[in-house]
Amino acid sequence: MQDLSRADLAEQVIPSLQEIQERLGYIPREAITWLADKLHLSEQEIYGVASFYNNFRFTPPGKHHLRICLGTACHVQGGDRLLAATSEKLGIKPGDTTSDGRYSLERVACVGCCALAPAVVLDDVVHGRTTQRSLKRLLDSIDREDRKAKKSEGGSQ
Amino acid sequence: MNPGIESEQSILEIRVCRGTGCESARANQLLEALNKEVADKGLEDKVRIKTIGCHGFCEQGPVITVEPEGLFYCKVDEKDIKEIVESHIIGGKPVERLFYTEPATGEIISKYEDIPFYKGQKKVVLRNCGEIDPGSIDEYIEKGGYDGLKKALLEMKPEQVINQVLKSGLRGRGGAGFPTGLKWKFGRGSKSDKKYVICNADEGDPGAFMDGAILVADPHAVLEGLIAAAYSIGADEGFVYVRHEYPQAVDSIKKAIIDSRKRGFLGKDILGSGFSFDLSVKEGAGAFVCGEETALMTSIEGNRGTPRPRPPFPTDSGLWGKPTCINNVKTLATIPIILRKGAEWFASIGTEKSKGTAIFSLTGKVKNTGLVEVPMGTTLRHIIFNVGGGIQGDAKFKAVQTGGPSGGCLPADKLDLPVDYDSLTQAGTIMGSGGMIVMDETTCMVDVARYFLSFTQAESCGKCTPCRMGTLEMLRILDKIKSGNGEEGDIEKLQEIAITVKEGSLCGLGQTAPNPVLTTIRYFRDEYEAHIRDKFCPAEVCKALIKYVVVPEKCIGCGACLRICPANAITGKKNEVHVISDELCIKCGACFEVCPPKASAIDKIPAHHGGGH
Amino acid sequence: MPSLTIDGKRIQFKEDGRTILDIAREEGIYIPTLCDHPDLPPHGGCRMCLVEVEGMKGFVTACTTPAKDSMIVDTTNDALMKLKRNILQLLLIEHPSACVVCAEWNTCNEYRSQPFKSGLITGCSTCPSKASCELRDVVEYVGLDDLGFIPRYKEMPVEKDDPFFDRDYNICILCARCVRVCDEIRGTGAISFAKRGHETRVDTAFGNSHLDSGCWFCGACIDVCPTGALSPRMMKWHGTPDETVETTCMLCGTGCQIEFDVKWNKIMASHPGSENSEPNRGHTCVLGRFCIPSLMNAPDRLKIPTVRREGVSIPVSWDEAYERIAEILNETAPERIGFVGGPHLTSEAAYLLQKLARSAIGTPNVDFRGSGFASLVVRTLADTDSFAKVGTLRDLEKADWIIAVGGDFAKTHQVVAKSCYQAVARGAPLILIGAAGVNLKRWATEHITLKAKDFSTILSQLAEDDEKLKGVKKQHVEHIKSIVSKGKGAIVFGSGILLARNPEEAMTALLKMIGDKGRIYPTFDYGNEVGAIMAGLQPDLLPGLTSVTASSVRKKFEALWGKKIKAGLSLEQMRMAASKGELDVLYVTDGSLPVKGFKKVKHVIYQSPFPSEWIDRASVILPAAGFVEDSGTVVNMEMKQLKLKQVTPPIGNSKQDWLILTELGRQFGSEGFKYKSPKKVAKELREFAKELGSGAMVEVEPVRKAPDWNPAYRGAIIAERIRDLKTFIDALPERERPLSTESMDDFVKRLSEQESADTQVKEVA
Repeated sequence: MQDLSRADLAEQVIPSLQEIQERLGYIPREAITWLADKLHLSEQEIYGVASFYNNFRFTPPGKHHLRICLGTACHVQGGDRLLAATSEKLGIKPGDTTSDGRYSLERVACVGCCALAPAVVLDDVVHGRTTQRSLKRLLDSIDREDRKAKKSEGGSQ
Repeated sequence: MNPGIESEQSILEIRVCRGTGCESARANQLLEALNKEVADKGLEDKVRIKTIGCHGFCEQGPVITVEPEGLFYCKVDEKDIKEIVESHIIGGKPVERLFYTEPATGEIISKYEDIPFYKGQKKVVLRNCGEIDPGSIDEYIEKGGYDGLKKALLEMKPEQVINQVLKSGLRGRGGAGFPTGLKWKFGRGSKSDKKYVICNADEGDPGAFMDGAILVADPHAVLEGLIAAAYSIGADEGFVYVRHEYPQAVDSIKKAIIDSRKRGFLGKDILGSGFSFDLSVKEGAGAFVCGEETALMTSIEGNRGTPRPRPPFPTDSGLWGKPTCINNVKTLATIPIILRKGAEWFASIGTEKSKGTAIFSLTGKVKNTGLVEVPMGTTLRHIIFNVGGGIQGDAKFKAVQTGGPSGGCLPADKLDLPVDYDSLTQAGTIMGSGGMIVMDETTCMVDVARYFLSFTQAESCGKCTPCRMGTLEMLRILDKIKSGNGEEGDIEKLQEIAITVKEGSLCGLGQTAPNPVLTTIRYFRDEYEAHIRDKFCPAEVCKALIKYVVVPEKCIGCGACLRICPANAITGKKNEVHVISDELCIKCGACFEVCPPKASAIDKIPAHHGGGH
Repeated sequence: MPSLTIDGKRIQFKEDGRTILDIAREEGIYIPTLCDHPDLPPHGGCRMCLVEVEGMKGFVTACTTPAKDSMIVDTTNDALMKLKRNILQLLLIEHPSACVVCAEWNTCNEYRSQPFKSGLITGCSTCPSKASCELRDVVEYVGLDDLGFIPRYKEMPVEKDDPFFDRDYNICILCARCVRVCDEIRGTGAISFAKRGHETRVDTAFGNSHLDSGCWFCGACIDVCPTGALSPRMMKWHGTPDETVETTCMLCGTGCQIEFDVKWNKIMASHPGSENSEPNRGHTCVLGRFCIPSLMNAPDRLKIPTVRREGVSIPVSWDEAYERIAEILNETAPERIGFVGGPHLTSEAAYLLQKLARSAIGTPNVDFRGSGFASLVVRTLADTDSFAKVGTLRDLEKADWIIAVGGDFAKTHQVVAKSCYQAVARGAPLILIGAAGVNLKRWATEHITLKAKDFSTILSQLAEDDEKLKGVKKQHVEHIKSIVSKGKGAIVFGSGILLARNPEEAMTALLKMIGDKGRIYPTFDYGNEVGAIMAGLQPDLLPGLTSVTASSVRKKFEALWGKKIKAGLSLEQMRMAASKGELDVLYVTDGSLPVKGFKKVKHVIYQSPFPSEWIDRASVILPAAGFVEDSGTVVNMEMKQLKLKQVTPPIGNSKQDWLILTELGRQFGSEGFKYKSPKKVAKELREFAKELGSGAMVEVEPVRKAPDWNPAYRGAIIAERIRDLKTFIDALPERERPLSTESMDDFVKRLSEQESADTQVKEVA
């Protein structure tokens, strides 16, 4: 990246962070150091940018990434109540990951599924018209699948 | 409706909507099943399956249309596929039970053009949405796509293009409504060795999805508009700044750019006109403020997305200090049709000062949710009650919110307001980028105001004091009111801070952030007063002011509430009356929702009303 | 000429992009600001400079709006003032506010001039910024007397773990001045805003310590902070100073103007001098910003002359000391006496020292311990008559391209680095040759990683426009050549070029390469190396850079001084002679000179502000004043003569070097020592300097090892005296890790493997 101008290098900050997060699921400390070297910036400059944007996280996400949409349509349709219930059920605040690393919970501003509010995104799959019951079922089914997977894994070993 | 490219009569075209709404209703599984069924039955030469972008009527998703007849199947399930294939494709007999039923009359409607939701609209910008396969540049061209651009590039001077856009009266669809032609004129007028154009697709408004939907459904229209913009101002490089939260839109526009480049609409010497232009996609990283044009540019440059004061305006000094023209997705998608059909045609639609059409994502407590396009000047009533079909469960209309966090809430007596930039601004809200959220009596206006404010407060970049501190302090007061600790004078204090934030803030985010609070105070002051004076939330929304109780005489002891309660706040033996513990209850309302309708034994009551009825 | 009206006053101005605020400031119209700073690009965040301009929508910030012809600007209307009051109220929700709205402030300020030494700032009397709080000024101007909101202090702990300064972000108003100065002016980026909205705070990456964040502790952030959020730990408690005096710093060759707070006849604090004072224009380095008061007020400063009698050092009067010196010198043959000055003497003192030696004592053995680098530079310049090729730091900021070689200026010459960065930020490519620190590497467009011994080779190749460049890949050769072929160049170089195989060749090559348009920037390590050489403090040079072998000039001196003048022993030769027992007396004014090799000298006369290993063997100790107590002139890296202004009286019974040497000269009955002030000395020196002779080239001995950065002043090793500086210097090697060469694929792969290994360990546990 030596031949690029300073502006060209700076332009790479966000795309690079996105690529790192895409591949690792989060932005580890080391990545900031690495990127600072590559882009001829200080670690602070990278960290300042990364911490500005909602999408970047500095801790590894849970195995299942649950995002509850709190866009206006979803809010009006009870998205906040879904979040409250889920937060209580998982025992974590939005933005955190359960201690067993299985779930991370996040509130998102809008996933563009307003017409079928409230929407929930579990592992990149959007579920529209979510109810307390359907969300519980969804999580239960994930639990079941995980248990099954673990069992078969355990059995094969 | 015209059939597709292969216009042999025997060929049916089945269009599967893959807009975000339908996708979330398992449209992809549907498509798989359809493909499989058609392959299994060996019908590949009899039908053509194609995926389309958002068809608009998300409420009824997943949606399938069958052309050339224009038949409309709604809420289709994987299980219905077999029947559609066997009965309709093979047997020639459409599956009537999947047709749309008009709830008001009970009438079954087979063709979508007859459905009131579509009948009440005028599709100009959304002309191709649901019509063409967004992945196919050929289909776009077939529909007259890139004709306007050809005309502009080969027959017109940049000034002529600008004049045409000026004459059309098109105003920016991103919210503020600045005349697009004028912006281009300024861009053209700036002297520089390098200029940029940017398509602003960082649609961060919660409750709005039109920009994303258009990018998914008709990406080439946006590209065509952007290339025309670049030609007009003399830019040779451009960017499309898309929200990262719209992966479909990102993929769609990226593919469109590649296809367009292959056909010579992008790159060196476009269509032999001597004009060169190319562009790339930048993904946003989750900051609402980056929808503000100066913040967007700072973000592209790789910085914290904080806005910078204007002047200098981007058309003088924008991206990397060079003249830059930023337009919204919808604005750009409108350009091709203006170029093709002429400024006069476009100007004939709409009102005197607001030309053309307005696009809304109609959501909330309205029956027909979805993507809606109507001529400017259409009344709110028409949109909500004719197109939208009225309020869910035929409840009472309370308010409609437009303009997202920058807009405001209008009450029932404003329903006959014509929707255009100036009327909405006068009423205290804004056109915004096009979210329209309908609210009924179960929506608390203080809660809505707080909702929007919490959004802008969290999205404030923190650069300027009024926005950083003012939104926070307003939020604190609203929280105070919501929690039953409101005092006399709080409303006035809110208004005072609101004015400070509006007048003092650096960018559009702060300058408009108080609008939801100001409009709700203006139109629903009594609701604020009920919260403050009587510690009462009329809509029974504010958690501190309500509580959930089990009505003993109605409880059938089914245990549904007990099982769903995440806080273990409900106790009771099977078949016996259950009890909710006030101490443990987090008021998420899950019990209320799952209590069987025949029993409906859980009641929401004002918190200070004591234990029972 | 275009004109605009501000508050009814018509002002003519030139339309050149200056803002309304710029014009108002020039006209003396006060528009309150918190985030704006004359040194920094406009920010537009605090909203205090909002004004109303006729015809413009809403209110606009004066700091960002360019002044245009026929604008009508209102800065004080009721709506504006009300808005500003409201914004200030919002700002003060989280800022200790008693200090800004207290009715008793004025009286209190008078009677309690000194703040309490409180760790936590809750109000005015505990704030280090009490006297200079810009927030208070603005509040006073806008006229706020009511808080309006319930205060909600952030109650964050004050950050005190890093050297030199405390950070209390409870009173930070997020004006971004510190972040901007660190990033955009100094090019360090040691701090940044983290998070956003109300959560925004000034921070390092992941909250690392400043030692790890690349901070150079230049203190620029403190200097621009409008509140007491950033404060120098040791310098904030003395309250309002009696006076402030600006003088030249002698701790390195940059020649920065530093302003000192004086109270109780002591320097209590140091700041960079005025923005208009060259060469540093309001900037300084860790030494100038934080170290001088502690250094000058050190308790072990030498305060009384002593004479060694029967092995014991006994305090005596100055006259007794002079008598003893005369005794020693008179009983010794002149050629067995050596005079060793130092690079921290003023030009006047250096001149007098050699004059004393050559005229009063009659010994030719005068020299000083400099870097050797200055000697190479000054002699080459004199030899080729190229002094005009030396640029000023202001020139450096305007360079079109820069080559940096032979030093890590970001560390050793932070102010030079700042000017360097200003050019880089404007788009000037920086070509870095040889090893360097992290900042230079970050700024560099091209980094040629050569061993120091090859410096002469590559510089010659560049000067001769060779096809090849040593250690540079082919595709980069073109790039580098295209860079250096255009515009005004700048070559910043340091004593590291002495490590080259042939330093003279390197020096000649870079002069050739820079041509007539460009400028060179030698970064001297010590305060007045150039001045000392020009004053004749060299065994082979007379004042005015004339070789002792140039007979016409020499004869003039001989006539004036009444003694034969010849080339004397250099410092190294004196050391040799001493080790062989051929040198009996050594007059030392630089405690940093190693004693090694001089142990056989019978008498040492030691003149310095600081004790050193020399005092144990000194027959006479003369306590000298430190540079803040002295006056005179020095010559800096720009080859400019800068004034030293006496800030405080000499500590104890110490005396300025020029005075000591004058009095001593008189002791020898010499006619030539009748100076009443250093000005007279300077005048005499100037007379000689007019007749610049041809400099004699001496062979510079190549140095083998790059010197560590261990700043010292006349025997005082500063890091040994100031713990914070030691902490800082000790932490420096950590930063010099090589740049990563890993590709993103490899990097991501390594991390994910590492992580899966970690989780496996966790699961097993």
